[in-house]
Amino acid sequence: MKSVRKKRKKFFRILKAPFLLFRGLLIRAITFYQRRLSRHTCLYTPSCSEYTKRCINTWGAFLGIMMGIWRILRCNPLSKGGVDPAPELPWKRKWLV
Amino acid sequence: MGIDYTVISSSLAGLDFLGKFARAIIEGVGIIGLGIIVFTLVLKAITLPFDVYQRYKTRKQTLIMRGMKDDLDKLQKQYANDKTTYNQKMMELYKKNGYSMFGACLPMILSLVILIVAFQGFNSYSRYANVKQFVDMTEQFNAVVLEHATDGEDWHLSIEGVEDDALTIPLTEEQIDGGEIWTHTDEAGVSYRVSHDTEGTQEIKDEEGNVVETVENKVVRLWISSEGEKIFMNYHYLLGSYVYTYDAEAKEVKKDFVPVAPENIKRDYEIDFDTFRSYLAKQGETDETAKAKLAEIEEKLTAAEGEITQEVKDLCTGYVDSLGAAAAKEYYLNHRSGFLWIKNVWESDATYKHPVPKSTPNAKAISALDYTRLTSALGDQKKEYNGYYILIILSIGMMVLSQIVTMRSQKEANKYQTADGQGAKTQKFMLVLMPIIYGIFAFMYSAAFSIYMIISSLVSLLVTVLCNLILGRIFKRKEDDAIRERYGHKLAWKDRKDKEKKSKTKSRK
Repeated sequence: MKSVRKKRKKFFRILKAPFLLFRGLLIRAITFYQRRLSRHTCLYTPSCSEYTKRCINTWGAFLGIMMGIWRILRCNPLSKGGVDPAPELPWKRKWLV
Repeated sequence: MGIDYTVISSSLAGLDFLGKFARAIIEGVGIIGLGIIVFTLVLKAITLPFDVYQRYKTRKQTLIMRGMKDDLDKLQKQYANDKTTYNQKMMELYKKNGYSMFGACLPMILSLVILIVAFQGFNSYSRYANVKQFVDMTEQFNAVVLEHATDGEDWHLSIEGVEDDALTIPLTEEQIDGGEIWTHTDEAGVSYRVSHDTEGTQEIKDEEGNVVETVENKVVRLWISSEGEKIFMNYHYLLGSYVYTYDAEAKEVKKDFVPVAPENIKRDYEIDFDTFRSYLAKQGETDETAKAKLAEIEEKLTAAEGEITQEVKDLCTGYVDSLGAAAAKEYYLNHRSGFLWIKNVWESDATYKHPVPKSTPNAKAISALDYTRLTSALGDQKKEYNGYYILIILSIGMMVLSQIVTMRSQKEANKYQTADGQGAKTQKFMLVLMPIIYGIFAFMYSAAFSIYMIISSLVSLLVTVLCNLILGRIFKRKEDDAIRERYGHKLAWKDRKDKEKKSKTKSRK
């Protein structure tokens, strides 16, 4: 029984591999942007690029990019800025109380 | 004999929304170079207000920062060991002075988006323009060549017996099978003839691969011809053919007649040799090339003892093609889209590119054979240099210049406005990266895009210089006031104004 579960896990890992690779590439690209191209001017903490990076890491490439775009749209001269952390997966959220 | 351009025109539909926008502006202006410049200015005008606002704000923030500097230094000394309190106090100071630390992300992304919009627009429109030129040239080619062809109408067979269509040939399947031939002459003197021909044989096999029967491939053709002084080309096309299938159960070969649908009719042009020779002889009285051609044909004919060989046929079609190619060349020379020294704006400004592309921009658009026929008269234009790298060097140079000027003017802002003064480091990286990217774009894509890049860098350079001048004027007084205030100097007129204000408030009370 245990071996079947292990096999299944391995199979899913192979299926996931290309998606994870793409995710990693995107994160690498954003890191390059942060180190070389960014002017480090953002209204929010964490910055838009960091937010997008974290979103891609937790929510996957598509949703992460969508969330990042929405954040960049919010980060305009009219908004006030402030602290705005990247959303966590609901079942990984740590509830106080 | 004409070139089929339905395929090329269908590939013209690939013009996207941005391409249509670029096309509307460029064709609206009329002169291509000017149109591109207008398109650039329109895009720049959209972003100009944001740009100026951004510069104004940066300047203002820098001024505030300069005023706060002493207080910040004091704070840093006071809370050297306690970072969280230091940050808190710093934020309080910022709020008091009305200072927001950083710029936003959206404006930076917006400039990138606009670059992509412009790039996409130009790319799509330049591909369109290159294909469009071929389509127009093909139309000219066909118009000239088909002047010498029979002007007939496309009749078609209808086995189901649809009689209401005027162009249906009134034949039944039995009549076709029996070899009965239909002839018709219309009012314009064009004669139509249906023929029932045999074209080779075919072996019918059963499932095991044994040959059951050998049958003749039978086809039904329509021949259209007319007589006239200039008309030496007649045409014919396939009306239908017999398809044989082996029926395994009945053990016999079945025969079906399959007519060609009216929309699938494909004309095959053929030169009527005697009329062509008489036409050439008449043309030869005034035209030297026609005379030489006729002499060549006669020579080949006597060598083949009066038989019309493939060589002679090729000579004839070559002459007809040269008529069309000359028309295409004339059209090309009158309508080429040049700008200053560049012969074709839709190719990049380099010596390895040529005004007439080596093959069609869209490989599917036109077959290689048709391409060589169409551009046979444009030999010089295929070898000419399209440009001399001037635009490429200019676009890189302008980019470097505008980057340096922006870097100089934003030196102070970078120091204050970015975390740990990283803005300056980034800007140095951009100084190398942006010209490389622009250089690649200028090499790979059309000269039109290079023109866009040059004009756009020029405008941003001008905006930077002008903004520095005007904003410098505006802020000079404020800066002076700030300095005086810091050192305890107050101007006489300012004192007086303050006193007036105080007295007013008192009187109200």
